[in-house]
Parts: sequence; C-alpha cells; structure tokens
Amino acid sequence: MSDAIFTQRLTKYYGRRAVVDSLDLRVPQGSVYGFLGRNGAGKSTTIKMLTGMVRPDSGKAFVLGEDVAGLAPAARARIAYLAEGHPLYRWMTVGEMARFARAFYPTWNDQLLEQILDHFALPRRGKIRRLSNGQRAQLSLALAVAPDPELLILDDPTLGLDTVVRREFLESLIQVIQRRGRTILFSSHILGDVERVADRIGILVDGVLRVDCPTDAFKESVRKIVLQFGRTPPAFPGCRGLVSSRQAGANLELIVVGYGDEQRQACEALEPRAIDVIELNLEDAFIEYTRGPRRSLPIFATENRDVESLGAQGAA
Amino acid sequence: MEFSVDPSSRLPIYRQLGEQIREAVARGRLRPGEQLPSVRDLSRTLVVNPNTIARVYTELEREGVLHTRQGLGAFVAEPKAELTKRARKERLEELLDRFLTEAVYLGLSAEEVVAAVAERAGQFQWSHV
Amino acid sequence: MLKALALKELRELAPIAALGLLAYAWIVGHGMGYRVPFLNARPEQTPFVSADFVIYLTFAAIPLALALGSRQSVAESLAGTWNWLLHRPLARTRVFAVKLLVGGGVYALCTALPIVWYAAWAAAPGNHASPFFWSMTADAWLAWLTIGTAYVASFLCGIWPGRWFGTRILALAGAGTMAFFFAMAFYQSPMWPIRWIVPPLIIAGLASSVFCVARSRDFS
Repeated sequence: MSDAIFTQRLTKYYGRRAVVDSLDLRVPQGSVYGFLGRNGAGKSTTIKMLTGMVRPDSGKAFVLGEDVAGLAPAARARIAYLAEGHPLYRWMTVGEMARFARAFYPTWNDQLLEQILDHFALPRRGKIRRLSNGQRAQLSLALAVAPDPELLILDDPTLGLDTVVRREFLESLIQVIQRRGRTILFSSHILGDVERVADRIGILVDGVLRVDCPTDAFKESVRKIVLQFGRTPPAFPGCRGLVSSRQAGANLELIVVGYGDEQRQACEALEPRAIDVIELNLEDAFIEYTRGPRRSLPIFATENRDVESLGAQGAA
Repeated sequence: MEFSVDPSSRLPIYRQLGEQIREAVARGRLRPGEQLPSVRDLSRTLVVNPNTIARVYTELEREGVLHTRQGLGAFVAEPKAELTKRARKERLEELLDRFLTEAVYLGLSAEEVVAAVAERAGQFQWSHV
Repeated sequence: MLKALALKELRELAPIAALGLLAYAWIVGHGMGYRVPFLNARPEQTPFVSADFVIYLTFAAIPLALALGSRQSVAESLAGTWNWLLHRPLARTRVFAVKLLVGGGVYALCTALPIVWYAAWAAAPGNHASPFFWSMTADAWLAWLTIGTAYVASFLCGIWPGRWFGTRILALAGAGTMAFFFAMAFYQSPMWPIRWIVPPLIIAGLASSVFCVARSRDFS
C-alpha cells in the first residue's frame, strides 16, 4: 500500500449533521499532508476516526495498510498521535512522563528524546503542570517521536501557541521530517505554517474534502478576477471552477480555480471595461475558497507531481 | 548568502527560493563553483519542508544554474552557452518587449529607460564574449 | 507496560486512599474508646455488637469508593488524557482491566484494614469486657462487599458517554437507592444468605458494562 492513510467514504453524524461526509482521503507514504478547514469543518473528528477514538457511522479508514476498526495494539506503536491540547498527566514530572511513555514501547530512541528535551531546556524534574503551553507541545512531540513511528498524526498541534513558540515547534517538526519515509498528517489553522511544511494540502469544507492537491498547485490556480463595469455589474452566469462571485460597487469579483481560456471567454462575454487577474497567497486563497456559498464549490484534486529529491543532499 | 521565504506572498515558496538563487547567481553574489547549503541545513534555517528545497535544487540543475555532485551537495554551475546565439537573441527580444511595454505604460521616456538599464546593469555579473 | 500503568493508577489514587485510611483510623479509634472528634463518645461499646462501627464504616466507605471510581474515569476525561492513554499499544480491555483491578484492590484493601484492625483489637484479651467471635465481623464484611459495587458503579458512570452530566448522576443515584432498599429488604428475611451472592454478581455485571462501554463509545 503506497498510502499511509486511506479512507473510503468515511462518514460521521452528530445528530442530523454530517460532520464528516463521505470522505475519501489519501495521504501518500512519506508525504507531509496539511489538513485544513475552518472550525467545525470536521478535521478533528476525522483525525479521531483515523486513530480509532471515534467510530464512523459508515465508511472505512486504513492506516499503514490496516483497517482502523480492527487495529492491532502493536500497530499503534508505529503511529504517533498528538491529540488536541497535547494531553499529558499534569501531576507527573517530565522525567516521569517519559519513563511512563517508554514502558509501552519495544523500541525507544532515548537519545532523540534527550536531544529535544535538552534543546528546549525542559527540566526532567519539572512538573508538567508548571510547563508553558509551548513546552508541553514540545514534550508531546518528543514523546511521540521517540518510538520512531512511521506515521505521525497531529491534531492542531500549534493551537494556542504564540508566534515564537509556534516557530520553534515547526523547527522541531522539520527535524522530524528529515527522516525519510515518515508520513505526517497535521491539521492547522495557520496557513503560513502549512505552506512551509506541507507537500500536499486537503481542505475540508462542512465535512467534504473540497481540495486535495500539492500545496503550491492550489496557490497557483486560485485566482481572483475583477471585472470592472461602468454601471451595475450583471450577474455572473457561472463557469467551470467558479468558487464565488461577488458584487463590489461597480465591479464583479470572481474567485476561480483554474482560470483559463474557457473562463476568460465567459468573463469577456459580459463585456466588462477591464479584466484584472490577481494571484492570491495561500491564506487569501483559503479564505476565499472556504467562505463562499458552500454548496456549489468545485472539487479540486490533482495527482502528485513527481518530486525528485537529491538523495545525496538529503543524507548530508 | 542569506535566503528568505515569505509564505504570505503570492509566489509559492519553491518559486521564491528559485528566483532568489537565480538572481544571486546573476548578480555574482554566488560565484561559479561555490557550494550552496545542503537541503537539510537550508530546510532547517528557513523552516521549510526539505522536499521543497530539494525540488528547487533539482529544477535549477535542470536549468543549468546549479549542478550536484553525488554525496557532496549542490554547487553553482559554470555559465554555459547552451542556447545558440540566435536562440538567445530571440529570448532576449521576448524579454525586452515585455519589459519595454511595461515601461511605456509607466509614462517614461526612452532615454530615462536606457539610462536606468545602464545603471542597473552595473550591479550584475555579465559574461564576456 | 501493565506494571507501569498499574503504578500510575496507584500513584493517582494514593491521596484519596490516604484520606480514606484517615477516616477509617478515626472510626477504629472511636471504637476503641478514644475520644475522637465528630463522633459521639460512647463509653462501654461492645465491638461488633452495637451497629456503630458498621454504620460509620459504611459512611466512610461509600465516598471512598465513589472517589476512587471517579478519579480513574472522570479525571482522565477532564485532562483529555483518554486520547493519549488509549492510543498506547495496549489492548483497550487490558487498560480498563488494570484500572479496575487497581482501583478495586485499593478500595478492598483500605476498607478491609479497619475491620481487621478493630477485630484484632477486640480479639486480644484485656481490651474490653465482652466476648468476641470472628463471626461477629460478618456484617462489617458484608458492608465491605456491598459498597464495592459503588466503586464499579462510580467508574462506569465516569466513562458513560453522554453530554449531560446529570444522566450519570441519575444513574448512580438510582442504583444506590435500589441497593439500599434491597439491603433493607433482605436484612431481616430468612433469605439473607443471598446477601453475599448478590453484590459480587452486581460487581461482575457492572464490570462487564464497563468493558462494553469502553469498547463501543467514542472518546473524543
């Protein structure tokens, strides 16, 4: 199985609302997948279904080739899960928590753990309840990485962390990524972080995966088209890849995915005075994509582009 | 040689980095034979996925800006006359047309533009034919 | 890894157990005739004949059992650590089995201590005027056994899925009331040997419910 994570029409209802709606998620092995979406979009619920904490109402999920529903306990040793809020036993000290965690694993990289703890000056005798949010996040990550997992699933790991601490966490994450073959799935609100670190992104809108593509592919193909008119603009009849259209004064603002000749012709048909095609950064693209009228969003997915990496340099 | 990336820019990170390296080579800040930081080091410094860095290096190698030596890393390549004289002239004219069109719309005079070109050219490293 | 989990549970329960033991020491001290605050001084008490000891024991044992059960269940929810704990490479049934065995063991040991201690004191010659037979401790042991159900019930309530906390309290209160009436009903009836059989059955039933809930509920 070349996918570290694979779901088939995964669905979960809370009451009558489909929090996760027929999700087909594929996270290729060795990739870093940024899982995006607004609050309540279903990211955390999806992650909990991937780790077996929540049972789906229908559909299946597979991690490292195994069905989550019957996941053998030993398989969990190969998967790291950072739950939201970085839960730890607050009454324990750092050292005690590390010893407790280690007891569950056959393989444990003590050296790596010590390195991370030393780097962030986490006192072994310090009580976890006295640690700051950032320190707890680092400790969580350190404990998760020590068993040398093949797959890491992080549920909004930088939530509540300030800018500096977030950067430090990302730096740690980069170090984790350096080890090849590791797959990482993390959900986040911070678009900038996602763009730095993720190979692919998935955007969940109301439980549906609307975007699933390489990070820069999304950024490069969402465009804002401003059609200037001298009068009240006409309504836009629609075109392929249209995300939203909005009237702003004498202008018609369109958000389009994959702006090409077909879309340009549709615009020109309205005979505007001018057409401006504006590129968007990831945050703006994400905002425009997720705030529009939800039902009519185009689903945007592309296959992996072949990324050749320089093997020699990676090992350096 | 300092590189920087801005995730909030409209350019994807790999393009930003690619352009920075290309420009650095063109301006002579990176000289032929000079070694670039390893993928690992650069990804740590910039806090960017190493795959992105690797991708930039691969692309630049394909373009002939860099070349890699197995086990050693990426180095700035010697400038090579890959394209024929005519191909280069055509490419230059293409670039000039785009540049001059924009300059015209800025409302400048031809003399101002030529003077500016001469001045800026001084900051770059030109090959001697 | 089971040992590590058991130790962790023990350490978490230690403060509660200590409080429980303190309360028990109080009660035993009172039974021995010492002037102990909060309990009425009763000179010339006949150990295990007057109902005082068992009543006080019951009043101390119930909160202990409830607290132990909650500490092992509700506290994990409040700290959000279920997600951490249940992701360890350890079968879920084992996790809950260890918890129940440790919690139940702590309750059983702590609550047995005062009974044995007081009985030993009563058995030793010269401590009090009346005769003493070990069979007189039967009521105390029955209370010990019956209140064990409160421990498992409290644990079950603590992991019961449900948004409104009230449903859990309601369930516990309902079970408690039923248990009380049951005890009253059988106390004087000729069928009272059954009193020894029913609590273990209830404990077994509650424990299997715990495993059922653990298996089927969402831990989010």
